[in-house]
Amino acid sequence: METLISIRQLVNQFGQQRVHDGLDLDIYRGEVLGIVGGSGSGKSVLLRTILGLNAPASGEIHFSGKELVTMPEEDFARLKRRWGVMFQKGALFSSLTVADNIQFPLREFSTLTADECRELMYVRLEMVGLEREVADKLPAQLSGGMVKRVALARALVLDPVVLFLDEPTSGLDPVSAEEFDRLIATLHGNLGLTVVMVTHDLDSLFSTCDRIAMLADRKIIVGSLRELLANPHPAIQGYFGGDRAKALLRES
Amino acid sequence: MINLEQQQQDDTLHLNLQGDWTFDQTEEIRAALAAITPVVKHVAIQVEAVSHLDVTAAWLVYRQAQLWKQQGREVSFLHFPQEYLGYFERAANGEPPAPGIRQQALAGVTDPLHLLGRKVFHLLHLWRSLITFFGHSLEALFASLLSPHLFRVRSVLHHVFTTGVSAIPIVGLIACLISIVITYQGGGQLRDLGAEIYTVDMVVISVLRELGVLLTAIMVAGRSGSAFAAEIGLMKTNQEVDALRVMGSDPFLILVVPRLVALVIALPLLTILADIIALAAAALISSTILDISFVQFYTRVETTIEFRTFAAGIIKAPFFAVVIALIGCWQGMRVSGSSESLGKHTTQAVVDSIFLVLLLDALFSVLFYRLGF
Repeated sequence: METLISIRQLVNQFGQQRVHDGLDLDIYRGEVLGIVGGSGSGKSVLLRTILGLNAPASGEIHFSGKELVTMPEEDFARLKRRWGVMFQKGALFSSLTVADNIQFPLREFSTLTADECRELMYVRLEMVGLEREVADKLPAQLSGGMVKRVALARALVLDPVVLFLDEPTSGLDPVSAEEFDRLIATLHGNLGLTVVMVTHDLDSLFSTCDRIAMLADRKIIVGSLRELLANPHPAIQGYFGGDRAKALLRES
Repeated sequence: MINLEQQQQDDTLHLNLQGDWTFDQTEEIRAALAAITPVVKHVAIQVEAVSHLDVTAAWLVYRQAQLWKQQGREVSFLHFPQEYLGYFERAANGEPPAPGIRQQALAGVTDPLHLLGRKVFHLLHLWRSLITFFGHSLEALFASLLSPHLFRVRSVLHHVFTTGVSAIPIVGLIACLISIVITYQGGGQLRDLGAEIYTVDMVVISVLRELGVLLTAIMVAGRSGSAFAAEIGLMKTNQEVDALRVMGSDPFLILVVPRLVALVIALPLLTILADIIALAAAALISSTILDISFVQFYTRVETTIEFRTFAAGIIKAPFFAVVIALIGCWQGMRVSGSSESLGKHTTQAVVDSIFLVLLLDALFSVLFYRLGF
């Protein structure tokens, strides 16, 4: 399998606290990778480091062969236009309508006309399963599930090669969360995206992810769900050994 | 790179798409599609040989196909991703959306009478809300005066510190600067008339009656009025105010009364401090540029300035304090949900309280004049 992103010997440190210590991770093209770990294990820091929002103390991150940490700011910015990112709380621009939020990247980074941008915006709304009426609302008028869908539509609008999702289903009710998982699975199937998601939701982990990367002891243990379950590492057994996880495993 | 192969067979134009049809190639795709003018009835779009076809590129092809259809041609897609076609068709055939906020906002401009009516009702609603808020606060204040165990002394002390003590440096500096400005400007003029001793009267009266209290109030409105609105507004967005209510506590008693009492204590004290510093600065500047010694300055103040000049200024301070605290807390309580609303109401708190302080000051001037005070 072709490696899209490879992280080598990553070290992240805040003051005395070392979050990642020599972390290695390969992300393959076209897979859905779930990043899990207990609270404070550095999942979000890892995601922020890949996205260039946090400069690592040392280590290398390669994206299709190009080194990101030392890459000049401009080149990195151009590269990142082909990445879709959905933040935990959506990060929709609060002063813009849904339509303007989704069109923002198109207006900024494409040569499409205003009409084309608007029609493509409606296509994205269709893709994430939202009504057209939503387009003229402000983010403050949307429910939690709708915010997530709009954020996903905005993340998809530049046809990203890779999609980063930070806790896509947190704060959603079980029905919406399941729908959202199905939506991501459908989009992944249709568009052939690489999806990297940080999640706490065991359901989405079991239903959508091809591989799971578990942060433990400032490093990463990666494998399919079966491989991880067979791993005797105490952190993994602790994470998947809970009653909820066991119940879900029995079901699947 | 994109590649578009054309092939005409009988009455069908076969378009064979090849290469990477992706978002980066928007320009090339558009140019390639525009270059094709089918002369025959059927167009068959074949995408089997494409290595990448993303949504934007596919949509551009789809849109071109729609144009050809409108020109009376028949277009067929071969191996075109079925899901994409589904999205495109639903997006293109959807109903135009109902008028949204933008159209509604425009409607306000096109119908001024409607807009005026709405503004008037909004204003009435605002005043009603402010008066209700004032009533609630007074009620809570009297309740806490009647049963002192409800009165939160620690909270009051905390707010006296944050609104009063920590404002001392900036208030002192402002008083000093304004006094220097008046002494320089007025002293220069009066010296030409040989009446430089009247500079003392002018500075002392203007500072004690008006400027000391007014500038201090404006400074405090900017510092503490906004802080009140932001603090309470943040608690509102975090549902902390709701939590208080659910626990059976009165948010007015816990949040508003201590701030109100603290500011009523702090603002007069700050004003006295501002008066002292302004007078000291005036004495210093007079002695350096006007040759009025400290003793002369002191004697002049003692003989010509009455106590009521000072009283006319300081008596306004508690009223200003009530206005600033009430407006700050009221705007904070009006914050709803979003962080955008928090910013809006914080700004509004400062603007409203400075405006009302100036309005109140004007009313006091008229009142004092009528009373001969």
